[in-house]
Amino acid sequence: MQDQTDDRTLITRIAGQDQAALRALLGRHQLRVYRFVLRIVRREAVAEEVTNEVFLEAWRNAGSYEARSSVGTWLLSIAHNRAVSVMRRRREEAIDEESAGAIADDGDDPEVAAQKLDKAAQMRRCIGELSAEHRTIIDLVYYHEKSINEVSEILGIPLNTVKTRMFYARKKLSELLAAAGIDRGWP
Amino acid sequence: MSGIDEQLSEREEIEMLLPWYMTGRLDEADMARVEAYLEQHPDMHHQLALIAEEQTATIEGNEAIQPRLASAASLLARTETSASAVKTWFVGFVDGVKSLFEVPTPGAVRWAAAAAAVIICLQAAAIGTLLTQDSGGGYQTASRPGVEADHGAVALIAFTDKAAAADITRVLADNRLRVVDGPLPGGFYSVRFEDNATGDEQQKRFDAILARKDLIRAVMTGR
Repeated sequence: MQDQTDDRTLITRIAGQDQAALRALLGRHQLRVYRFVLRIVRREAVAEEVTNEVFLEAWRNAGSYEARSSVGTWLLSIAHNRAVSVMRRRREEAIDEESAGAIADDGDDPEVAAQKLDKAAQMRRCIGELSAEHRTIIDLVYYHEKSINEVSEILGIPLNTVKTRMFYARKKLSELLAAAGIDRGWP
Repeated sequence: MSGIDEQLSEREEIEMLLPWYMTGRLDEADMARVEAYLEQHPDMHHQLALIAEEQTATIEGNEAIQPRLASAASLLARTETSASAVKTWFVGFVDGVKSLFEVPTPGAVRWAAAAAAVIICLQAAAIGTLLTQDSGGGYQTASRPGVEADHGAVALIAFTDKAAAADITRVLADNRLRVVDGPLPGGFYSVRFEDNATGDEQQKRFDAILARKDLIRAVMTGR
């Protein structure tokens, strides 16, 4: 709660063009925002640029922040919109990349892949292979620890869709793990 | 919280809530509902173990990501440039208008000057928008879609802190240059010639611009 109060104080100061407050906000949220964006756009340079855009938007629109949600949720909401917008522009390239990834993966049969990687590494790899939608919601829930309401706000989707999307993301993850030779006994 | 779909079983609904149960982000009612279900269905604890694995892998995957430190410096440079350009223009403009009314002049002249000031204000606002705008609320790079094609020589120009928007516009117009993007890191603006000037002519204009040390901090050309 104290962190949220401090964040809101920073936003108030940023609305007054206080750069020291922006630096403090960066120190608190930049890494998480960058990681969130990178997991969507998958390119470091693009993620860096989008992250800068997020904080520039916060710098310019701090006066319109209404404190209905935490500052962290507000920033991730901006980040999601920007990252999705970038992905739309780069859709064809992204599809090419995903296809290339899929082709490369076909080279390893499940047993060989299992030997190469331990279970935790396999899990990380499979999360990386999820669709951007599924990967994003997994990140928001498990890493950013956002509630159902907060995820709904960040992604701009109904509460029930949040729950079903997370459910299907987990199911898909289990399927990918099964294909990699790891049977989790679910679903 | 009510059920998602009447066709979903209680088990499926609980399964959907488990990730948030594990992260402690459920509201009280749902938390109690999940706990009651888990008590009656110990087999569901297997799901919690799976979720714990998923969460650990997700956290590890995220924490392996380290951003480059240049990112913050670049952002702060942009905010400084943006704030400085607007502030300089505004202060300069207000001072100019004030001086018009301080000098003893006939009433008609003062009103003509006031009208001119309004026009300058409108023009300067447009220029200020050009210098500080970003489509969609954030900056964009020179390679973004929508930036005009790269006709003629392109240079990067940085202005001094004291440069007023009206002066910047004048020096660019005098040399047939137009801002096509910016501000960029370091406070640079990308400019290009509006005509098909020869290489020598372009060099002359760059020299002329560089001579305006009161306005121009640096010029970088592709030469």
